[in-house]
Amino acid sequence: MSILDDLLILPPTMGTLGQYDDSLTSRLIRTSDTIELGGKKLFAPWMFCGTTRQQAGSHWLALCRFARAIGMVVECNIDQMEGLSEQSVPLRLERSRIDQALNPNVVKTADLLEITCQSARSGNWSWPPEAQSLHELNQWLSTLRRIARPSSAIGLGLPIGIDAESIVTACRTGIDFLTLHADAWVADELIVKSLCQIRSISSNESTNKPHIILRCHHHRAEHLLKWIALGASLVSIDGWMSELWTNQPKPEIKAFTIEPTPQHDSQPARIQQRFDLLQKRLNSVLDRRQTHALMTLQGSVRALSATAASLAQVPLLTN
Amino acid sequence: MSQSPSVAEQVIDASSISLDQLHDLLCKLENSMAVRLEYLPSCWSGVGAGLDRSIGLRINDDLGSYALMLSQNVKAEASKNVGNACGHSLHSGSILVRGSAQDFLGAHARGGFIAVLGRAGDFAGYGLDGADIVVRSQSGKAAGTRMRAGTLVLGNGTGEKLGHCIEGGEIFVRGAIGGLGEGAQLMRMTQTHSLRLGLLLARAGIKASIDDFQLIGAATG
Repeated sequence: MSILDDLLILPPTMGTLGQYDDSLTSRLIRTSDTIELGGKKLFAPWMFCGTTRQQAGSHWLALCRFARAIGMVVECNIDQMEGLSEQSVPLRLERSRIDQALNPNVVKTADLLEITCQSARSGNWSWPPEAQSLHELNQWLSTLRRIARPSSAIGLGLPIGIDAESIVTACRTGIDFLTLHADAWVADELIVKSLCQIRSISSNESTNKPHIILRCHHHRAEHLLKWIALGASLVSIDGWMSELWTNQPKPEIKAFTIEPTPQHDSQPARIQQRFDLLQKRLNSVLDRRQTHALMTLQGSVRALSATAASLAQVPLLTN
Repeated sequence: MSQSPSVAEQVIDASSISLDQLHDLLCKLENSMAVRLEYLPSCWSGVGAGLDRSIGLRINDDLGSYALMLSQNVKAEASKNVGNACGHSLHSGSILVRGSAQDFLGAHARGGFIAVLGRAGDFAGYGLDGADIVVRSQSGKAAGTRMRAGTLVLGNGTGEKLGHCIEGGEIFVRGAIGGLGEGAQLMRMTQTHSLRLGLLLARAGIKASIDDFQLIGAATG
C-alpha cells in the first residue's frame, strides 16, 4: 500500500461548470495553464523520461510522432532520433552528468538541457566538483545558457530526498526546471516529502520558481495525477505507457541477420489510446473540479490519515 | 613570388558592450579572422564559450571563469591570467595562457591543446578526456584527478594526490610530487612517451630536458 492511497484529490464545493468536448486535442489545448519551459509551451503535464528506442522497439517512431504532435517532451539523446523525419522529432530533454564532458551538439540542440548532479561512474550525487558554490554554479549555468539555443530550458537534476539547503541553492541559480530522480525502489513517502519540501521552499523563494519534473516509475494513473496535485509540473509516464512494449514480440533472428520488426498501422492508435486513457482520468478529475486549470489541483489534496496529512502537509479529511 | 597577405586583426572594445553582445559578435565572425579583445571585465564568465569558428582570439586582460568552455577550432591566446575551469570540455583548437590559471584547468577537455606558462591551481586536467595540457610552472593538488585520456604535462612540481582515481592517459611531471593519488603509479617512460613529451613541450614553447620528467599513469590489475 502506498501513502498515495491515503491522499485524495477533492472537487471544490462551488464553481462554474464548463462544457467541453471529449477530443484529446481540444482537452490538451484548452487546459488553461500551459506549462512554459524556456521558449516552449507544453499542453500536457506528462513526459517520457528514460524510455529508450531499444525498449520501445517498433513503437519508437509512433511514440516520437505522437509526442511531437501534442508537444510532449521525450528524454533521449540525439542519436535516438536517427532516421526520423524532422516532422517526427519531439521536444527533447538531454541529460549530461557531472563527470562527463559536455557535448557541443547536445548543448546546442537540446530543447531542455538537464545537468544531472550524479556521477555516471559511481552513481553518487553531488554538485559538480568545479562548481561547488552558488556563485560558481551560476557562472557555469549562465555560460551553458549562452551556448544553448535561446529557447532552450536549462535545469538541474537532483535525487529525491535531497536536503533543503541544496534545493534553495538550485532555486537560486535561476534554472528553468528541477528534475527529481526517484529510482524504482524509492518509497512513495520520500517522494511526497520531497515534493512538499520543494513546494514550501519554492513559495518562499521570491526570485525563481523552477518547474518540477518528477522522474518516477509509477504505473497507476491515479498516482500520476496525485504527483501533479502535490506540486510536480511534469511527471514521467514511462511506467504507464510501458505496458505497450513490455510484451511486444522480439524481432525474428535469422542466421546472421536480425529482421527489423515492421511498423504496424495499429501502433500509433495504441499509443494514442493508452495516453488518452491517462488524459481522460486527468480530465475527469479536472471536470469534477469544474476547471481545466492544472494549478487548481494543487491545494485540492486531502489526507485520509494523520500520517499522510503530516507527510504531505495537507489538511486531514473530516466529515 | 607573391607573399600571402596577413590577416588584419579586428579589435573589439568590450567596455561598451554586454557579455551577450560580445558572444553574438564572436559567433558571427567568419573563419580565419583574427580578433583582439580589449577592456574585458574580469568578472565576465564564459568568454568565448561555445565558439565553433577557426578564428584567432587574442585577449589582453584577465579572463573570468569558464573561458572558452566547449569551444572548437578557436586558437586563443590570453596575455594575463585565466579563472576557474578555463577550457572546460574543450573539443578542439588551442589555448595559450601567458599568465596563470586557477582551478580545474581544462576539466573534461576532449580534444585540443592548452598551454599555461605560469602556474595552475588545483585539479588541473580534472576528468581530462583526450586533450593535451602543458603547465610550465607549479600546479596545485590533485592534478589529473579522474583523468580518462589525453596528456597532462606539469613542468615544475605538483601538490598531493596527483592522478587521483586516474583511469587512463598520461601525466608527465618534472620536479617534486606532493604524493600520488589513489590508483596512480609511476611508470617506465618509453621512446614513444619521450617523443610525445618532446612534441608537447615544443608546441608550448618550453625548453626542458625530457630526462627530468617522470611518467605517471593508471595502476593496472
